[in-house]
Amino acid sequence: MRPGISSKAKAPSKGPGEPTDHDLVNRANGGDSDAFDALVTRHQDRVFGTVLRIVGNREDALDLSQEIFLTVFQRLDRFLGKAKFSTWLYRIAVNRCRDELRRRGFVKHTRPASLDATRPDGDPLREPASTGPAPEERAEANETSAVVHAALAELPEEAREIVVLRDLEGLSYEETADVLEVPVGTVRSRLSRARVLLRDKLIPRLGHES
Amino acid sequence: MTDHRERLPNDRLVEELSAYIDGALEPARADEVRRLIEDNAAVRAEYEELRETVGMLHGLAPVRAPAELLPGVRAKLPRGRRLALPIWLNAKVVGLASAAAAAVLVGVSLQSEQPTEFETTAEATEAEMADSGAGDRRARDTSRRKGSVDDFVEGASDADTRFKKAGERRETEGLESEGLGGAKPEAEEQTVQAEARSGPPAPSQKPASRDASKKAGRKRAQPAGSLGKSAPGKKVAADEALAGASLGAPKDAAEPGALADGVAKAEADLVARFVQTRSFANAGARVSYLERVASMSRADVRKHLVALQIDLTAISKAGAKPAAADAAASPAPNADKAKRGTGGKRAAGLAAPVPGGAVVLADAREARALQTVLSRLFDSTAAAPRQIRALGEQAQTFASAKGKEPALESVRVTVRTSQAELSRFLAWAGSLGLTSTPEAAALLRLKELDGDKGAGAAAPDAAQAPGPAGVAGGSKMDRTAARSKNSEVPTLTVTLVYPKNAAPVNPAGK
Repeated sequence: MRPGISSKAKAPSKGPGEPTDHDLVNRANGGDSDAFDALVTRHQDRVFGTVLRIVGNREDALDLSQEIFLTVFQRLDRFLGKAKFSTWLYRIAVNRCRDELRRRGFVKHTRPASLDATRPDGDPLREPASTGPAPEERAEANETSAVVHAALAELPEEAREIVVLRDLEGLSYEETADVLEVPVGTVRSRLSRARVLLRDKLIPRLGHES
Repeated sequence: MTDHRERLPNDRLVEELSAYIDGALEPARADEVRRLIEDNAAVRAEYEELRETVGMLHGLAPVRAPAELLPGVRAKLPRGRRLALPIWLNAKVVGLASAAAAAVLVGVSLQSEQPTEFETTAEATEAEMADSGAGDRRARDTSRRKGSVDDFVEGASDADTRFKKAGERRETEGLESEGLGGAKPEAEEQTVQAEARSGPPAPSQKPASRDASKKAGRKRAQPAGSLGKSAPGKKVAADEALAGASLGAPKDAAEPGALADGVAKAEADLVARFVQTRSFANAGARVSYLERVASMSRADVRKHLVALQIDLTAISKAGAKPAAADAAASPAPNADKAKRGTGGKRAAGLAAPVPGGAVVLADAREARALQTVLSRLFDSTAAAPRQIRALGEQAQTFASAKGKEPALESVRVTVRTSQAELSRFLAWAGSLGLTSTPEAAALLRLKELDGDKGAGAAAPDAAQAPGPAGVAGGSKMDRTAARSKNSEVPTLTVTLVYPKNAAPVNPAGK
């Protein structure tokens, strides 16, 4: 009954001597391609993870992630540093995902059906086996994980976005509000509704009905 | 589901349970919720289930980016210094200019909640920059993906053919004067384009082009109707700018992928889209499109209608009677004026057809479709001006205009209305987040109208306005009477600019 489950807070690790995002942005704007590479490397997991869980398709997620970073590259000189770089990045990512989902023909939710076909072994969002199973991938390749991802894919786009940002990416309410450009109160209510929706999908599947 | 869910928690309590799980409640309230959880079995069950759900989410392993992501990004980055297309080829600038031209057309504009197509602010915030990424992929990918309204632009494989057609159309339509012919030096092109379209400065512009855009940005302040007074050449330019607004051109044609395909392709795409948009001169295309949009959700309607623009104008020097002023005005056809796109000087009496910007629709079918779209857009349950809600009922009015197909890419609905209606509309707009500077300008305009009848008249009419309290409003009857005395009838003009990428669709195939 203890509240305050810690969010995953997957902020990329950055050693004490490592440059900040803003440092890298400045250097990249000065023509330092290594600095841009470093930005991509630092944030690629969170971008890819966010996109993948919103669009539910690895191939699209890879394409979109690359395009997101290209957009970032193009607009890097317009990043004013008033917001966190990661917030700016998430915002671009979420907008790209929305665009992609609209393009699919106004599908309200996305079942990773195509991936199911190629990945019959369980969780459709898992890394391909060819890349070698990491420990966390093996742990994820269980029934619960697959069920959670399937339920997540069935959520309406808006609900999925907020669950991904808050519960999977570990953004704070304020950061989520910044990314989605809505008030914090909206984040709170929207998140609550999304969790209830998810709960209603998950519990019957996992046999937790009381 | 379990029984407790039926007798439990109202939404607010569930929301608090969710926030409690995150440790996001104020300490005092968190204590109250904790006690509630302890004392109430239903609340406790709800809490446990939510907590378990959140726990499952947190238990998912993080996703790792595939190894090919970074190499893929590197491969697509332009080598050396980033290139930039000439400004007149930068579709984003076209979009900006289009927005400004539309603003000139109607005076005051409200930016839609999701400005997917163009930006109207001179200084792009980071949020706007992020927004602006939403449309980038459209042009490139439409050949691969079909089925949405966004996909109306034909695939890139057709670009050459369309470019040839575009060349033919340019000759016949005189687009060379727009700079699309590419014969003029680049710097001159930029100036011509920016000034003709009255576009705000684009954040991405290089210093040389910023000057041109600043000039253009200053032009945004022109009053409603100025377009109608402008030289014919500029009217053509503005029409084309409006076409640009409906083009679906990617916001940033200068992105590396496009550059890799060459400037010629970008030019071909851009010109082709200009040409393609002309299909909206065909009523069948408009109707098909509207019906397609009418079948969408409200959110999608907003996304697909590029701009919603409001023009508040005091009209009529004739003796306005309160009842008539508040009654639904029939937006009678006025093909000639609509064809000119004039905001125009309005001086019609109440009995006369609504001047300037009146709707010219092809037939009742289009009227019904438009009515449906507007109802979606305007939240028909609450704040939509009833004249707009009644548009479908007035379909026979539009039927008389059958056969007159205006060569417009936009439809303007002008209705005389009451100030209270306007206030409600603005409140509704505010509730949707259309609280931009233009809205403030619109409110200011309302206050000016109020000011005509004294300071006491400006009291908010929160009871009538469903939106945020404090929006300028006032007693409907008082206002109407005051307008009658002052011979002022506020007019609400809604301009729907047909979206980008629009092209005929087969209604049966939707």
